[in-house]
Amino acid sequence: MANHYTKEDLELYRNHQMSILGRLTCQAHLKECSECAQLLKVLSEDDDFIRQLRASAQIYEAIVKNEPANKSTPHSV
Amino acid sequence: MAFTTKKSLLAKVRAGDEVSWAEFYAAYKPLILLCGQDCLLTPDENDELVQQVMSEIFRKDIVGKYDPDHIPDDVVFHYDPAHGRFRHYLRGIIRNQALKLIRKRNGTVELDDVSQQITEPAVDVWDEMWDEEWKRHVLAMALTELKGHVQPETYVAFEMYAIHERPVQEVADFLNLPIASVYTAKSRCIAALKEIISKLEDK
Repeated sequence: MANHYTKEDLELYRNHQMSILGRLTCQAHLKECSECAQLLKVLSEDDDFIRQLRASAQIYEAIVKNEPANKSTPHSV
Repeated sequence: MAFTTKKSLLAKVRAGDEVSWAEFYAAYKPLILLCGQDCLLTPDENDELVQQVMSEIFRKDIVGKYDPDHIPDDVVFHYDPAHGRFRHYLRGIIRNQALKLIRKRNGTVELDDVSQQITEPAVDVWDEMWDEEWKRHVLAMALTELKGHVQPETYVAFEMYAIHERPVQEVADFLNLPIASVYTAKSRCIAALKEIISKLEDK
């Protein structure tokens, strides 16, 4: 395939929102195309980034509301 | 569309611009409180920690004199770059003040009640903890700043989908957008956030 998939296409692919034919075509393309496979990896890294962002936002929201922050990685010293 | 945003607080601090107590307090109080919690300070000790840190930064003795939530607007501070990187300067002040509170507590508890005593954090443990808290602080600040960097609809799509974890179809329906546009919004916001973070990180 000369054309590469966009981030949006790959989001649809990994979130099972493509048609069956579209999914199979994308799957085959990803086996051959390192560029698109890399873009898929970037989306997974973005997921990690968002998880950290969400956790920070929740901790800050709790501390501003004067509630003890529920951290996943406590730092008892 | 390009957005012009007001200078971030950290950028102002680094540039030596005038920073008001209220602005600084709102932005850094959570970070100071989280560091205090990491040191196992009580809520009262933690409030004292915030006041002591703020007093030292603003060189204003407000403890017991003013309500720290309502300090006059003319109480400002300019960061002197001669102190080095601001994050390191702040780290040192918070650590010193936290140690004072720990020593104060350890010095006042009864000898037979050692359970109330706190171990002073070693420098390397403190630094590791600080790095984690600073990272959280930067992420939280970046998310606050993001609003001014992207279109309102893009921000709402990102907030609903990525931060509040609403189903993509629900977000698309709510905003009357195709699903792909929600993903585009997410991608744009992540790119904008990374740019904001690179500016906020005081490395």
